[in-house]
Parts: sequence; structure tokens; C-alpha cells
Amino acid sequence: METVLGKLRQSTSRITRRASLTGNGAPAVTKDEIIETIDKFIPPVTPESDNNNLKKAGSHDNGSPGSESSSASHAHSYSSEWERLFMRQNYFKKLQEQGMDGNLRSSRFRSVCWKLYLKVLPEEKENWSEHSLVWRKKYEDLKNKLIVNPRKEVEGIDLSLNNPLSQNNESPWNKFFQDNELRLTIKQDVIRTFPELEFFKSEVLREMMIDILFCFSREHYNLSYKQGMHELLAPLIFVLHCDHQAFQHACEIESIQELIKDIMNPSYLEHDAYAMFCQVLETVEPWYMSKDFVISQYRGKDFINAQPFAKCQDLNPSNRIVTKLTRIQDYILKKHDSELHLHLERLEIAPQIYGIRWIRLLFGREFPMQDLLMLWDAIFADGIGFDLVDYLFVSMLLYIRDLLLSSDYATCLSTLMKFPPVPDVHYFIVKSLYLREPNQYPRPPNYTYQTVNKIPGKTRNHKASPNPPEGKRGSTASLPVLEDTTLRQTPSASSLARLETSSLRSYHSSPAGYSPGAISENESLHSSPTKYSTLPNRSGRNRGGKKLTKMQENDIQHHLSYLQGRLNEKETMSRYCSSKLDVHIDRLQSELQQIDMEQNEEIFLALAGIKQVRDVLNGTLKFSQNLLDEDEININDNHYKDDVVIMTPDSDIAMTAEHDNRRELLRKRQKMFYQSSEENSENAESPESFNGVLRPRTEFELDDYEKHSKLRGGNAARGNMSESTISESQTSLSSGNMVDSPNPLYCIESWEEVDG
Amino acid sequence: MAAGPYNYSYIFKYIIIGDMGVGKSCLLHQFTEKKFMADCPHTIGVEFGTRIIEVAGQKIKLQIWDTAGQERFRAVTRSYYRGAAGALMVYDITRRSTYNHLSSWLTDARNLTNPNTVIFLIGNKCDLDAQRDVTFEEAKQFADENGLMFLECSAKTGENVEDAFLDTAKKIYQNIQDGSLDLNAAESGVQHKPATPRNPLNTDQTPNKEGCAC
Repeated sequence: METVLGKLRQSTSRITRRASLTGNGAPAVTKDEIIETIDKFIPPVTPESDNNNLKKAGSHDNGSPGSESSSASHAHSYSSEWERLFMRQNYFKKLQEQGMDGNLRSSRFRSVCWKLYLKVLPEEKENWSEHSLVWRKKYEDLKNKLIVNPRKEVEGIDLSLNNPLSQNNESPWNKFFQDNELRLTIKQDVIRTFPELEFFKSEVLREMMIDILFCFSREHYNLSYKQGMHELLAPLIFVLHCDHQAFQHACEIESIQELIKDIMNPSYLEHDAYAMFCQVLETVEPWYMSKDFVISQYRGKDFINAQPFAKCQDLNPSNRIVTKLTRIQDYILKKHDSELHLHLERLEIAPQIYGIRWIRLLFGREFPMQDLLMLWDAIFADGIGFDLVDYLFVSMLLYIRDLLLSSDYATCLSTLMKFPPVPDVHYFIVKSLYLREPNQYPRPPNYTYQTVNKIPGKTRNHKASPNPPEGKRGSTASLPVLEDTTLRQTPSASSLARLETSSLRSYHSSPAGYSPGAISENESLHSSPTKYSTLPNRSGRNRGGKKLTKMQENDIQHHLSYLQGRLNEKETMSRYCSSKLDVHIDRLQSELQQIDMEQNEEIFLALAGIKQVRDVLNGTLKFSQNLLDEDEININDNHYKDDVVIMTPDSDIAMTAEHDNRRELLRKRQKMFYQSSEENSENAESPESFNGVLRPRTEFELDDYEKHSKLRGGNAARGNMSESTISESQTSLSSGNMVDSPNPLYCIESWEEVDG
Repeated sequence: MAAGPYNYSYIFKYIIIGDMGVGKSCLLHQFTEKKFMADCPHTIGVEFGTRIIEVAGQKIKLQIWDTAGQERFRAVTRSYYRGAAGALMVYDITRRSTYNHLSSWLTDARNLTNPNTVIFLIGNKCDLDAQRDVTFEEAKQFADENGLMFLECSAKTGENVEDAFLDTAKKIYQNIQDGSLDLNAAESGVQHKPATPRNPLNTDQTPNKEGCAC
């Protein structure tokens, strides 16, 4: 590499000198002029003239493939690969297919393929040399024109204009300083390009990248340089370099035809990279354009901070990338996975939070380099519009859907910001093609990120659980840990259910060691037992697994993600409220105790009431039937009546419960599902009947609990979310829910630990 | 969720009840801080304290709710009774009225807790023996009649304070051991840490959850 770059530098400086002598303006040169000029200073590496090349290229086209390739003695030779790729009839179409199929992975001409895809080279081979020349010349001229050093231009200068202190806009010094600033900005990014790859640490290479980006941004004033561009450039250079290496290696072994030598000339690494970069940016440019929107595609958090409650629509609608992302999420994703769409929407994870980076870098940060190159093969091969990007985007989301669906806001975001490892990136290409044109392409297996491996950690806690749903979970307790995951979230029931379709047919990492275990027949109402019994086992019998009707499954999952979302929301809210209350109570109390307020007992009562609310909210005071009962008692026989308001699921009612009929309604509702409150308050007065009260209540509770879990089926197997949490949230969600759930209150038997 | 972050195996919930001014908050303070709080303001509603103790080699965390004695707070404090494993019922040995009210406190406690709740009678301020208004024997008899454990304590000197809390815990622990207290029962007031299948709320809460150590 060093030597190549050294050569390149040499030739470049030579070219620079000559070009400055000829002093031509880049834009208005004719083809002949270019050829002439280039001929003059073509570097010694390619001594042949272009005319020669053109002739040869022409003859290639006429002659049948292989007929004149003297070096095609062995099948895997360099030249024969060239011929196989570019010499056949309709080669471009085949080349596209190869890109799509991921067959360029080991090709030594990937850069040429990319040039073709990107229209840096035309389809007609006879024009290749010419086009290469045009591009190379263009870049050369640009460089000469744009990279100036005022110190060297001493001839015929106007000192009033041309001095370092001049404020004049036309002063070359002024421009020089501005340029330096831009270069510094670019450098900041360039030195951080793919830090994991040694390749990008070379100083010469970094200089080259800076030059390319600098020239580009000066050429495109409207766009200028934007963060992220360097990461589009880097893989291009990488591919060119790899091909050049292969070329040089081949040169030592076999004789290479002139066209290849010309196209693969390592001296023009920088030039060719520029050409490809320009073509890529041609398409990508709108995604970088922004009005007043600060690009911070890497720092999603900044972005969030800047617009805490922004939804995609609110956020600078003129922004092209947002439009694109909105389309991806609200149209493509919604169409293919409405549940996931709903989930993300509910968590208010706008696609631009993570997607701007995905798209602008063409997924450059989501995959390791080799995977990325394959992805780019497909993106480029698919067409210059990079239309495939949208569908790749969605197929990536679908891949991690189970993970997302079972996660809360923070976990979702971190998953999206740090995409989990993928065994075979080609899956995304297949999937995205199918997503785009379901009729044209075969349906790939549903392949989702392996969340399975997290079940064991989950079930450990439930081994001896007496509760049916957890016993059921126990059946999967022998699942081996397949791989280490950094994710703490546990799979939702939906992801369990998905196993059937996902991991079973997955490509490489189909989990091999399941033991289906004994699965109770009656385990769930909604998610059919067959679902679980088709968990893969070693023998791989399971393909016959019966599917739930799609509708049913969707319904359940839809419902699940909805409840999950609400639950998380409410839980967070409760904690927040209680901690805030705590702070305020402290302040209030210390103030109150300083001043003498013995007379004002209402204030103390209110404070005590607020404390109670706090304790209910943070879970230390069990929210229970008793609270409701006491509330009733208070309202009925207490002289503070309306002053003490105790938080209940019906508190909204209780608060406004000045009307007796309202209260009557509440009581009726309670009677339907609990022991009537009258009964309870009687019991409270007479200790004798106490035992009688407790016993049936407990039984009721257990019974109820079972019913409850059955109702919710697989849901009960959900990870950290337990029965009581769910019930609690359901209870507090809406008073109307009380009618639906037989006795949610009795499921809340957990009292939470408080560290004082 | 494993016992990792917890260095105790049980949580017992206590409540402290009794007339105003008998020294409930001071008892709690003496127990948790090992200090006497001289001019303790009257409790507004409830206060909260915790301490980890050891019974039969088992670490047990006590969650103690200190309730207000004033009648006006009764509506609020009652809601804290439920699910208590232990109830400390306190009277002031220098004020007969606080002793006389015990039966109503006991009724409340019996009604609002479960049958296995250990009720411990505490005659506080035993350092003020000169002003004694209720004899030890009398209170002891009341305790025996009602099946209560009994001690005279002093929150000021700390005498017997530790014992009252510990004896209660021992009794609860004994109840667990001999099976009379069913841990799975909803209102046992005891939480067994390592296996808490029914208390998932705890699982996703790191112990940093702020209590109300006000």
C-alpha cells in the first residue's frame, strides 16, 4: 500500500506540475483535448496509449469471449475472471444478478462492478477507457484548481489583495484560510473512520480521503461536506484498494490485457474513488440535504434532547430524509408488520432517531466491513436510485422485531442504535427483494434475531413456581444458552410463539439444542399449545407445526404489545410520581413542623393523605381492596368526607364523587366482583367473622388468578412482567377494565421492598 | 432477580401503633438509629424505617411503618395495617389513658391484619418509673389474656427496645418455621427474597429505589 500510494503521490505531483503548465480550465475541455493531455503525462505504470486500449476494447466486444485471451489458461486466473464477468453477452444484467446474489464477495473486480453499477463506467466496454479518463481528468483538474497554496503563487500578485491579512473575499489567503478550516473539519471525521480497521490508519490514505472530500465539498457548494460522507467514501477506497492489490498480484503471474491495466491502474485510486463517490452522492445527496436541521446522525441522544416530544411529522417536514424515513416506517413497515409499527409508534421512537444514520451511511455502522460490502453490492446493483435501501431498512427491523416488541423504550433504542450481530447479511437482501416485490421473489423464511437464548435466565426464577403459567415456562428451562447476548430483555410470548417460524427455518444459527419438554395441554387459550410443542428439537421434527390462524396471532400480538406499552408507561409514571411526591412531602413537612400550625389540622391530614398516595404509587403500600373499602368507609362515616381522597383506580370517579349515584355505581361495580363493601366494613368491625373473610378471599384469589392467567395465555409467560404487574396496570389503566377482569385487585399481592 | 443484590433472605413488615405521644416514633428512631430523638414532632400520617437484623442466622430486613397516633389520621394509618407481619402496640406507662385505649387499638390491629400477625405490647418510657401510672403486672396480665408478647421499654435509654423488635421477628420466624405462617398467603407480611415468584415488582427494581426515609 505504501508503495502504491507513494507512486501515486509521485505521479500526482507530476501531473499537477504539468497541468499547471498547460493551465486549462476543467469544465470546457473536449474529449480530444483530454486524451491528448492525459497522453502527455500518463504515468509510467501504464505506458500504453489510450488509443491502443480503445482498439483492444473494441476488439473484445467483437470477438467471442475467450478467443483472444491468451492468458486464460487456467480457470481461476485473473483474466478469466474478468472475462467471465464482463465479456459475456448481456453481461451487465448478469453482473447485477451476481451483485444481488452476493457472489461478488470474493471477486477481484468488485470495484469494476461497482463502477458499472454506479455508472462511472458505461455499459459499453469500448468506452470504458475514455470514461475513466474523463473522470480522472476531472478530478485532477479539480484538485489543481481547488487545492491552492497562496505561498507558491508569487507571480503577478496584487499585494493589496493577496496577503494573509487581507479581509477581502477575493484574497487567495482568505480562501486559503477557509479551506483550511473545512479541511480540519473533514479531518476530524476522517481520522475516526472505521477505527477498527488498520487500513484506515495510514496517514497517506487519510490525506487522500481529505483531498477527495475537500474537492467534493468545494465542488458542491450547496451540499458541502457533511458528517457521514467520509464513511461512504471509505468502503469505496477499500474496495478499490483490494482490487488493486489483486491486480498487482496478478500482474506478477500472468500477462494482463491493456484494458484491465488501465481500469485497474493503482495510480488512480484517488481519482476513481472520487468518481464513485460522486456517483454515490448523486443519489444520496438529498438525504444529506437539510434546511435548518443540525445533523447529528450519530448522536441520537442529542437529537432527542433537541426535540423531546417531536414526532416525525412535526420535525422539519421539508427534510427529505425525514420524509423518506416516515415513508419507510409508516408505509412499508406498517404494511408488513403493523404490530411492530404500532409498538414503535407507541414508544414514540421516530425512525429518524436511529434511521438517519442507517440511511445516510448506507448501513455502514450497522455491519462489519465485509458484510457491508456485500450489502452495497446489492444496493448498487439494484439501481442507481438505491431504492433497495428502504426495504433493507424494513427487513432489518423485522429481523429484530421480537426483541423490539418485548422491550421498553430504552432497550428498543439501544437495540436500534447498536444493531445485533447478523449471521448472514445476505438474508436482508433476499428479504428486502421479497418485501418490495412479493410476486417476483420467493418468500424467504422469517428469520428473527435469536431471543431464545434468553429464556433460561428467565425461567431460572420460576422453577418451583406453583403458578400454572410459570410452570409452563419451566418447560423450556432446559434451553441451552446458545450465545452471549448483551440484551437483558426477555422474550415476550410473541417471540416464543415466533420461534416456530423464525428460528426453525433460519439459516445458519438455527438453535440446535432444544428440548421441547412436557407441555401441558391446557396451558393457554390464545396461543395454541402446538405452537410450543413445535419448538425445535435436535431431530428437527417440527416443520409440520400447525400455525395459528394469522389473524388470531396478529390479534394477540397486537394486544400484547399494546398492553406492554401501556404497562411500561404507567409503571414509569407511577414511579416518577411517587418520587416527586416524596420530595415535595419532605419539603412540606419540614416547613410545616417549623411553624406552629396546630390549629390547621386539615393541612396535616392532607399531607398524610398525600403520603398514602405516594406509598401506593411506589408500591410500598399495597393497593388493595381494603383501600377501596376504607375509602368507602371514609366517605360514609367520616367528617372529612371529601377532603381525604384516596387514590383508587376509580379515583377519577371518587374525586368527582359528590354525587351519590356515582358512588352507587362504584359500589355496584364492586359488588359484582368483590365482596360487597358493606360486608367488608361489617367484618372490619367484628373480629369474629374475620377468619371467615380471609379464607374464601384467598381461595377466590388463587382461583381467579388461574383463570386470569389462562385468559392471557402465553402472555403470562412474559418476562419481567408478572401477573400482578399486569393486573395492577390493567386496574389502574381504566376503571372500565374492572368489568373485564374478574378480580384484578387480588392479584396484586406483592408488596414492594423499600430501602429506607 | 436471584438473591444477588439482597443480603437478606426475608422481609418482615411491621407497624407501630398506639396513642399519640406514647413514643412510637422515638422507638423507631432508637431502633434504626440507636439514638434518642429528644423533641420529636408528631407524626403526620406515617413514617417509615428499615433495619436489617439477624434471627437464627438468617438476615431479615424489617420494614417498619410508624403510624400517627392522632385519631384524625386514623383513616390514613389504617391502610398501612394490612399485610403486617408484626404489630408493635405501644402505650405510655406514665399515662393511664394510653393504656386504657389499648383494647381499641387491639381491635383495630386484629381486624386489619391477619390472624398470624404477631402483636407485641410495649410499655414505653420505663425510665420514668417515678411517674408510673400503669404497673407491669397489670399490663402483663392484659397481654397474657390477649395472647400478646409484652415488654417495658425506654426509647430514651434504649432499654429493651432492641429486644422488642427482635423478639417479634423471632416469633414471626418461628411461625414460618413451624408452618403456621404461610408465606404464600397474600397477607403474611413476610417476603422471602430468593424465591419471589409472586412478587415480580421487586425483580425489576434495583435496590436503589428510594424509600421515604423522611
